[in-house]
Amino acid sequence: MNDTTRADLERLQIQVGRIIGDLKAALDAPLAIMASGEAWTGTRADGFGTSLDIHKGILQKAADTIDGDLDAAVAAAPAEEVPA
Amino acid sequence: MTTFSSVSVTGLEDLVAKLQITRRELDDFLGYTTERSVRADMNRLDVTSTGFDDLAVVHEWVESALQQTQRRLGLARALEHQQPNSPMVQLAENEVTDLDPGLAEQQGRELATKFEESGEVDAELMEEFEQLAYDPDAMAAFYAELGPEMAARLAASMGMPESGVGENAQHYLELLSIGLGTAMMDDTPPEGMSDFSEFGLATDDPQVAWGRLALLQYGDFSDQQAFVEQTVNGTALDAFADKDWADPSNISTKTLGSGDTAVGLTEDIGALAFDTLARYPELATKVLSEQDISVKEMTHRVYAAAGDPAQRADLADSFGLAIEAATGSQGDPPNTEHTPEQAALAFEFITGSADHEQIPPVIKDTTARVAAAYVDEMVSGSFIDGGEMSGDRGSSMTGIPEDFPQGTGLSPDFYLSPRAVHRFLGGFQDQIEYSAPFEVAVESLYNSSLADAIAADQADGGDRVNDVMSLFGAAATLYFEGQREHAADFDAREEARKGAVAKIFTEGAGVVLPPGVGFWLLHQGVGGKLDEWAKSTNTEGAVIAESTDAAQLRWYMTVHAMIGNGVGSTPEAHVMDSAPASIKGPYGELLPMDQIYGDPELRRQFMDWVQSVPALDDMSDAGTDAWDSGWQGAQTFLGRT
Repeated sequence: MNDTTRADLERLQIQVGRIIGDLKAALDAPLAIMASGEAWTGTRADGFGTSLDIHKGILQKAADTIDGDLDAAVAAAPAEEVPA
Repeated sequence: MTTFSSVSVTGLEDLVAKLQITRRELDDFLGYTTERSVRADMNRLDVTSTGFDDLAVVHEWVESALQQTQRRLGLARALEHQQPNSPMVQLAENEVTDLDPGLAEQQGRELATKFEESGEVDAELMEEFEQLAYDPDAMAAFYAELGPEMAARLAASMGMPESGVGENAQHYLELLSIGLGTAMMDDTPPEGMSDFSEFGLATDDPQVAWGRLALLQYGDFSDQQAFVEQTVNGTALDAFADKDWADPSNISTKTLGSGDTAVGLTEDIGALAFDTLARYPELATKVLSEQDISVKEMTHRVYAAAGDPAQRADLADSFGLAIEAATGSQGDPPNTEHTPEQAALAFEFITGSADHEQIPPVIKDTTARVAAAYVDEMVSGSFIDGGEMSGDRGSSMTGIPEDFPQGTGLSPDFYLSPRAVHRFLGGFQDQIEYSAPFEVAVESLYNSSLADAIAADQADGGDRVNDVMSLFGAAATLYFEGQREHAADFDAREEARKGAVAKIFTEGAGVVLPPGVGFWLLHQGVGGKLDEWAKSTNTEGAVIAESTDAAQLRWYMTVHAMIGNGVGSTPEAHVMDSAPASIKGPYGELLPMDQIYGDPELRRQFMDWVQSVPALDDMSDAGTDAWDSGWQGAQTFLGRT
């Protein structure tokens, strides 16, 4: 891994940092609609809502893992040399 | 046990939209459909993450969630019109609901193939069709496979008695139409559905033309107005607007067969096009406004085609229904508020009809409803100006007649000529049930206009009451003289009305005048008609004439309206305070006409009291004089027409 890669990793870290929050919240709007009871209600809808909730958990964990792995890669990359 | 879901079309639309956004956001990381993604960027930099595996699980679930919600949304849309006024649609949860859309499509295609191979319609196939009729995925695939021409011919075969479909033909046609409506609701239509734009192209095959239009008669096409518009125009109305519209080779003059259809629909292709428009009022306004010929010309053509003796009676009947829809004359009572586009069409239709001495009998119910819906215009058009050629003017969408009184409260969208009013109102006098809606509408307008005029005059000392009375006096004359000229049962109607009024004197308290008779009674106060009744051998007329003198009943009605609107009252004292207790009800109100005129002593006390209150006496006398003036003007006008 060279210095250019470290800089690229940091740029990517910033870019991902901007959108990781949106990813984590990507199922919030569907959840809110289901919770309102104004789109779909009944036994099947209850099952759908539960599944939605479970997948929100998986989504947040996935987002945290991606974020963490990227942070770890940046941390592991050699520091960039300051030009003389 | 079947379980049900409650679903909202708008709620599900929102849910589907949000899930689609979720899918895009996931894809920004996973890169399933985009070249650029977070995963690809990380891979380029040799960074991996197990988080993407979990993200893939969520993505797969979102795909499945979209499938479930889109499927229910499609089914809900198809069921929505069956459960009107319900915010949530009840949806059975079963194996059909859970079908993969692809499998539902396959079912539809296979069914279409069976229809094609069978070459005829049987109960078993239609039973299978009925199971899928509200399934957009299946129906879209069915019609895509069948294609537009076969679909039209299939519908036409239902209408032809000789095709042997049998007694269920109408039910089957309804299902085919519902199925096409359902197919059009499919958000992801399969290849082949776009071919149905062919319905908007001209055809010279009467079976295809009739079948296309028949397919639009029962299903829900409310979200497919462009498709309906193109079909109606391309299949029939463009041809009807052509110069050769009356030629037997013109598709709009053709019929499905030589007799009645097997499904209760008209066999007349032009008529079926108008029937289609009658289902969708806003579309009817648009389509009739945008034809190459005016509605006036269309009216002339329809009347010529319907002819006398009746030839294409269905054409006139269906055209009438389309006109009612397009001019905003539907409703009970007919709606009197209209958009400028509706009013413009009504103007063309009324003036076009008024060009004819006789109109097709089957359209008279329509002209009567249009007259009731445009009662403001009928009354305003009755205005007889005081010029040298009184009342001799043309109808106009924009021009206000010279000296037309302002402040009468009428809000006409156009100004008819007295001649057009007289002829249009006379046109539907054949049967009392035709004329009743107009009589009720004009009586109601009279009451509200008079009340408004009294209130306004009270405020500023104006002269609106007399203007209103004069206008309605002229309108009543044009109307009842039209009735005298055209109603075969005119004498019987007069007897019935006199009978209703006579009950006031023979039965006394509790008698209520039937709707519309009040307006007639107002008109009987002029010209000494009630006095004439006494000379007749007619019992009802004689009863009234012996019981009162001319104009008294009308006078009561005018006085009653004035009291109700504060004439003679001050902030300190109500005018009724000075009335004898015997003519007042429990709340101090003036007793109704039947009670006062049912008792000679009460009648005398009422008369004496009104004459002792100058505000009431003067205004009501002036008002009834103004009515007589309107009557006189209209009589003179009719005398020279």
